[in-house]
Amino acid sequence: MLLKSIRLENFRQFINEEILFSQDIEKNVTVIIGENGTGKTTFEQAFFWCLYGETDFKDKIMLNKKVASLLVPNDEAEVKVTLSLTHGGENYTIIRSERYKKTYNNQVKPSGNASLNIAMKQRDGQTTYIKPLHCDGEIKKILPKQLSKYFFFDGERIEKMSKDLVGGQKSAEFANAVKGLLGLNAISSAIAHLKVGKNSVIGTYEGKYNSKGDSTIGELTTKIQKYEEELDQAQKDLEEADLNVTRARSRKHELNEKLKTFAESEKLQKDREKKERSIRNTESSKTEILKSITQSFNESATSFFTLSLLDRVVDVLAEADVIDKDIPEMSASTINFLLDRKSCICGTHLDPGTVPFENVRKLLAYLPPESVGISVARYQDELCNKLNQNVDLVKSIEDKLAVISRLDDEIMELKDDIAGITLKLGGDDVTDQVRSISTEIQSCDKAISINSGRHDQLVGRMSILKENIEREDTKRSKLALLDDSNKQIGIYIAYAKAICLELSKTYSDSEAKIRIELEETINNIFKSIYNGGMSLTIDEKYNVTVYVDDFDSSVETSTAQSISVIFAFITGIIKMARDNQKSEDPDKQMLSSEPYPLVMDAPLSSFDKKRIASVCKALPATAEQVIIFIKDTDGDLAEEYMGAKVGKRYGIEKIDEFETQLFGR
Amino acid sequence: MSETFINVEKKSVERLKKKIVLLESTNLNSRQLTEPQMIKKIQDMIEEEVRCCSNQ
Repeated sequence: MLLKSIRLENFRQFINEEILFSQDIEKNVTVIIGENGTGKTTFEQAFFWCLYGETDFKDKIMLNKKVASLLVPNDEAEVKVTLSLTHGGENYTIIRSERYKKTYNNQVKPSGNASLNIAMKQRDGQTTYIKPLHCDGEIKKILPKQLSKYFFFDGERIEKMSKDLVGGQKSAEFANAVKGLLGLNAISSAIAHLKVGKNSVIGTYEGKYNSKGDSTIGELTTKIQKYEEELDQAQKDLEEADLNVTRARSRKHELNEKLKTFAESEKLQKDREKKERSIRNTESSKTEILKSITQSFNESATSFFTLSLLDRVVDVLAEADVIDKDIPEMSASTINFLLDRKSCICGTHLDPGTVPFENVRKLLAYLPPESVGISVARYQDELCNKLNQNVDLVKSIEDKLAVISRLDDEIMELKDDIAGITLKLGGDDVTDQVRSISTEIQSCDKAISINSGRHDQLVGRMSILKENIEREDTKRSKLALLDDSNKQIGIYIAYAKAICLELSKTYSDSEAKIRIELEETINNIFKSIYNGGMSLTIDEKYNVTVYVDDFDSSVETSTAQSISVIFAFITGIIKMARDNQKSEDPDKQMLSSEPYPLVMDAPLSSFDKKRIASVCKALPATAEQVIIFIKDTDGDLAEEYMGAKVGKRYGIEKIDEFETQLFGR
Repeated sequence: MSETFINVEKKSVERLKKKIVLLESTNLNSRQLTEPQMIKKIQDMIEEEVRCCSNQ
């Protein structure tokens, strides 16, 4: 399949634009250059939409917004992509169109299904139209969707494919792509036509055995057919079991990778839980301290609020002249005794009305039971204690409040940390997800074990069936020789089986040879692109492993290395298919396949200048036709390194947000 | 190459193998022949080759 042109009508921002692709063998590159957002990807997606009716766009309305805005209610407009190409020597025009209608709510909606029409101009000049029901089938013949990703790709898709390829994912898919593109399909199809089923070449011949003369031939044929049916079924079951093992392994690998990403999340989640526990503990400590403040305050509230009064009392008492006026250990009764005796202890006469009498009598005011001085002194002591106690209460409350403030800070910090972790986790609780992934991994292990066991059983059963078939077939061949017409059929069967055997050998030899050659071709291209002391190997199951030269273990590749691998892989396959076509070796010619173009959207964005130069040199030399949509900055480099190979150049220019135009450069 | 009691010509088998693969390869691209037509065509090729061998 080689592309001739593509026309976009009302397709997103393209109202009516056409690209004619270079058909020149020497200048096989078509470059379309545009700034970011001009619609390079839209053009690349238009191929997909035209061939398969699908795009990667979120907005599924393909109608140009300007055209849509000009519609009045009930008006219709059509989106159309016309792709012209050659395939198998025939010229195809593939047209996909979809009509849109404006509703009275001012909404534009598809007014029916997209239609696909294919016109095929044969070598004799006659044009035939493929029936609508067969159009999808015809596209499948030209380029099956699963193979299309090897020829139409954007940077993102390349990156995903390279990860799949190097990560050992979808190796079966790659193997099928290689076999299909390198001509092995013709051999496997021939083997299927020769021997698979009752309607195959061998099956039909076996049905023609004449058993009228000898009923044993008929019986043996029935037996053989029964064994063969069972063998076919066992083969299908074996393929299914192997596929289940591959799928389960692939899924397990995906899940393990997912689990790795969750391991980090799980750690974060544990950290979050720990911090949440810390918040709870800190809040509980804070509550205890608050309780203790309240309790202390309740106990000391009265004295606290009388504090200013007590201060004043202390001042008043300090001014009162009552202290040190009494006589220790002396009471009022002692004074009264002295006054009644009218004589003091010192011998002075205490006659009423005299000065000594009055002086002694005054002492009654300060001595017990009326000893005010002592009571005041004691009270003053008590007051001092109380005042000191209140000073302790304030200080203790102040200290406790400081602790509460620190705890509040801690809580605030923990809450900030938790918010950060929650943001990182995307608000999800990963524990359940990890648990569910682990359960699924266990199911995968179970599926691998069951299907591996089934594989062994089926291989054993198939071996027995093959022995039975061979035994019964030998008996039948002996009997067939006795009848002329049966003998002739026997000869045809013998030839068909011999061809089948040879084809099977060719298939496995070619497949092994192709793999070795592919590995060599890919390595050469990979080294020319990456040039970094690395090489890759492809095993029987098409798992690709990248090695650093002179180092035994495989290495994890960087994005640029992975993309180089996929570039090398795709261009390697295409180069080999092309070499087979050109080869004079009949065996290689037998493996030649249809040429395919490489259509790439922003393929150089992951590379540095040096790699861009290598890729630009490698692509035109390997692929039959190269179509590159490229941003203006990479375009200059592409022009510098690939200029001599560019047959057609286009630029994409934005008129406004809803319309883009093409111009020849 | 021999198949029990029937001898098959090695060269004929090789010739047939290439012709059949070429036919398959062409038809994979053109899809002109249906599956039963392909089987019939292969049978015709084998029978013609066997006839040629027996005439030699």
